[in-house]
Amino acid sequence: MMIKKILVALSFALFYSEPVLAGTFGKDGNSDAAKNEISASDVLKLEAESMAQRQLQTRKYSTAAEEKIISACIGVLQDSGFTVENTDAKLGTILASKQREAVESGQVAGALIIAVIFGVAIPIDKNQSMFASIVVSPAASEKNASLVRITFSRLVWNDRGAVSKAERLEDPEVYQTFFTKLSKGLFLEAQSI
Amino acid sequence: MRTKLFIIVISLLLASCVSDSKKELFTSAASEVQLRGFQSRAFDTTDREKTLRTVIATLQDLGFVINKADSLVGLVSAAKFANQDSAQITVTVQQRGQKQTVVRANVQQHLKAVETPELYQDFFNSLQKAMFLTAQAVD
Repeated sequence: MMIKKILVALSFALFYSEPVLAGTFGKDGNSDAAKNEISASDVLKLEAESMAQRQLQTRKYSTAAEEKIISACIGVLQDSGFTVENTDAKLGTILASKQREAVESGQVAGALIIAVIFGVAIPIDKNQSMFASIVVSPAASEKNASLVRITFSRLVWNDRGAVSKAERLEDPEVYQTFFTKLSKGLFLEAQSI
Repeated sequence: MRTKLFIIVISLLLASCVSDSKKELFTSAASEVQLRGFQSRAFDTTDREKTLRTVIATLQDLGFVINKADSLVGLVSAAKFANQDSAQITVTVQQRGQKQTVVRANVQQHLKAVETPELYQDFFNSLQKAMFLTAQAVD
């Protein structure tokens, strides 16, 4: 009896601890966790954080050589294990993807605890497709400068084969990392916009 | 026994009225003319590439991730994600006559085509600001 009580207490403590909760309900470090669904009427409306998103995802490079930037971007993506799916040199677009495992220990722990207490198996994340979408364009404000905007997103499938997450990645660090790598590849300094 | 029979009869009735899901291939709530009306706008420009680039930038500002762009065909396709939810958009840019370019967008969300004119108006409002040109109705 005592063991059961301890187990329940322990599981509650674990359950409400941030990482497990986050892992179980998909509320990870992503800052847009609050909006679960795109409301049908807002799908083509400008979001409030649109400008902040643009700044996060864009850097300016002092060169007008778009092809050179595109090649450098592809190089960085290849370094990170992406495969390129689609490019259009004239419009400066690149789409790359990679398929990886999406098992997270926090979520597995959460699922185990729920299975022990309630006797139900809840689905856990299994696979993910990660996407990098890049657009290179001439900077309107400056001659001989180009803008590089990248958006990372991912689709996650659980162990029952259903999509459990479809999200844009909004962690500033991933964008910072990408642009640091790109700057090295281009031998140019990235400037914020 | 009677309940079982009842369930079987109800199921048979249901089966008789459910349509073929393959018919979804060409179904649409609005007529083709209506669709083209609210999904398209004309702009007074012949610069197709610049229009495509503006469409791409506008979609990005609207939170879409660009999946594909083709300057030859004049097409951009993009998706928007929020948790399990997603919306897809395809935008085409075609020259019209000697002076105009027509932009047409179509969106699907929640397993349905978006056929609300106001939503497309939202898109064209953002686009015309970015184009510095007025979006005109296509007739």
